[in-house]
Amino acid sequence: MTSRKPFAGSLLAATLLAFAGCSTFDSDLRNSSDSSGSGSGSRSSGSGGGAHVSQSYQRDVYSFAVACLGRDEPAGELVRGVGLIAELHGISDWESAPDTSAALHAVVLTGELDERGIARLRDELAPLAPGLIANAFEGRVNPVGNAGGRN
Amino acid sequence: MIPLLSWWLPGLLPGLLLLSPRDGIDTEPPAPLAFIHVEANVGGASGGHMALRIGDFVYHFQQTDASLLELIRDDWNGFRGDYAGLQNRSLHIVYLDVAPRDIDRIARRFSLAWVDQQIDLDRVVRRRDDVRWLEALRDGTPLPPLRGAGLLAPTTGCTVDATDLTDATALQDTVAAALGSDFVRDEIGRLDRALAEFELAPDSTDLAPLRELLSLREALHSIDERRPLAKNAIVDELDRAGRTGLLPPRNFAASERPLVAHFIDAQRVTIVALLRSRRPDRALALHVAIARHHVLSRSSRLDRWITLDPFPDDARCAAPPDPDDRLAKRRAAAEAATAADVADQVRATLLVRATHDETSLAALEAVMARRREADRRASGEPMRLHCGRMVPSRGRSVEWPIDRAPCRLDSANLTDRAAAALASWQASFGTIESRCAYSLTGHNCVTELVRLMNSSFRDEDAVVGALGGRLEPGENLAFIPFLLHDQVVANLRITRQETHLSRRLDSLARLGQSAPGLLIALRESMTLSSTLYQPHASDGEFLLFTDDVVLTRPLCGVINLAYATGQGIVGVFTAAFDDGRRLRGALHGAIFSLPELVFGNVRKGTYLEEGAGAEGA
Repeated sequence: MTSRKPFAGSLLAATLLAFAGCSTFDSDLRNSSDSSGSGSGSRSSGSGGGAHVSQSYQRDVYSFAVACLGRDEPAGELVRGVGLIAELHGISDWESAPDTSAALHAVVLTGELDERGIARLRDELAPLAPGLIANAFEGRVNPVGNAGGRN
Repeated sequence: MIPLLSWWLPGLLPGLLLLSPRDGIDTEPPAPLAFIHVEANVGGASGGHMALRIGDFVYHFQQTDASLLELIRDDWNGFRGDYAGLQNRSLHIVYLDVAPRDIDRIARRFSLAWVDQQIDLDRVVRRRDDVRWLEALRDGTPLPPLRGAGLLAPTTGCTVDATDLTDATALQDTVAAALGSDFVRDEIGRLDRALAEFELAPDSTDLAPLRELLSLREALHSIDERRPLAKNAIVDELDRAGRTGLLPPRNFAASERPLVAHFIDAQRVTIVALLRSRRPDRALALHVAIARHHVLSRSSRLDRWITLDPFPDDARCAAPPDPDDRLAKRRAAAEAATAADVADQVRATLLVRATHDETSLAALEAVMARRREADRRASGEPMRLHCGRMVPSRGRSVEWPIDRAPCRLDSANLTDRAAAALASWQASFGTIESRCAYSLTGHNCVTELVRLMNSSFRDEDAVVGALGGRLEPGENLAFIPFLLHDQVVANLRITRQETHLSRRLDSLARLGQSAPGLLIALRESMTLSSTLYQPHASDGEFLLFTDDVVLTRPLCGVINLAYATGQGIVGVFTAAFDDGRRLRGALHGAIFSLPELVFGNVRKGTYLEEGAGAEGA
């Protein structure tokens, strides 16, 4: 029915790839959002429009925090990165969003960081709301400092 | 060309409907894991494409105009709607048999790669901003806009509506009650001192802390001076009624009023928390919360939805449809109607949710603003576009508070700093360029997907253990999408394969079931008579579809080539009148007829929007 494997084979495909370069119809649109620094490269959404926006935000924060704390990033990079991730997910008040502390708590719990990494996490979070730090390290359920990012 | 539907429809509604409970990270493994081979089509898609689905996300690499490979993350519904729907390309999906733990590992690797890429791009933007700021300080020209400061308007020389003043006064009272009546002015004094003492470290060009100080100062002045909303920072349903000639917007339903009150209270709580906070990037959040407080208060008073406009200042614009193109105008009107439906559904969905966080409000802002843009286009105006979620960030240039803060930057050599900032910006962009440069065989959408997948595991054995085999980037011509697809099937542990038909083929199959017959099949095999497809200039001139035939494809190719040649001859004579459009279409048609002569198929027709050329904003 479909023509997935044309007989002309690899040579034809390679020739066409030279035309193609993996771009799509709207590559200009995608590119534009990057240079703005305010969006994502993703058409649909930085956080995905699918089922688990909250979960995808947590996953991004978690993955980034583990990597950031495990490599020699300058001080302040963790907080700056989390702020950017939050904005990509449409969140401005990330400090009091329960998902932020849940993700950071997972960082503490999963044991992927050594003691030095945990100490760095504590240092990075030190200027922030005490509630966020408590949630991250102790996993308290109650939200941070205000209505817990409930908007 | 821009698939206009794709920036607001896919995923938005399910995203809102299914905001998850607070599950924690590991309670729900991200299944399924699948490679997706996307068939070729005309334009930049003629080589086919490859993607990886992980749970609700699809990751894939795309080449940008600057010949860089960029990792894109789409939600599954959006990806499917774009590629199989608008781009009319069938998807061949191979589901892998992988343990949930390993899927989670792969999901985290891709998530990190995407986040790291965004952070790198943001770094480039910040360095570009440093250049602009240092040049403005050097030249004494107006400072570049501060993000978020344009949501509220300075009151100097303006008449402020008394009711707006009431909202601002209520916020002032809230802050005074929580933090003391002198808090805001004390903070402004502290910031003025910090600005006066601000100096750059030797060799530094990073002005982000300075921008943050200035932005925070503006936010505090907004509270202190009871600044109103900027006129062009909001989306009001009443404006829509005026534009579209529709009935005035309906008032809030009874169940919506408590929701608005809840949102207003939440802004007050957030503002107080942000004022207490020492978070180093809180200025934008504070601007947003203050503006949301004011706009929701107005909304409550006027009993209809008024929200902030979340589009970024540099959002791209799509040109309005050609006034003489009735088809394009009909499409724009249909889009506006769909946008209105989506907005209504989101509004209804908000009411049934038990809890609300910032993403609920952000979703409402987004659909309201996107609906307005769709209305604008339907009424013949340009339309703004933006991919992804948005936080309102309208900017405004502020004056340097030089009378209060003689900045120590004056003593810095701003010319040298500006030159250094420019070099730093270029270097950061160069780093990305060297890392993400595209090459046809060694660094393309296929090879990078495999590399990233492999890098999810600590070594080769772990890859084989998890996937049942290992793919090597580019090996045995596996830089070609359909060959990688074959290698996935041959080498990895898979559970099943499925094909998601392109839009035309899917419609054709349905039509074949409901109205079988040779005449209908013949009608649908030709572009000029098809009821399932309408010719687009960007698809080129062709007569017969060849994606659903194999044996007769070379013959169809000959006919298509002859048709394109004929169009080309006519196009020579019409070039003076149509700007060479027909001639270009004929050339395009002839080129994409060639593969058909040897049983290949690239061209399938598309459903992309016409007449929406992007204008740089």
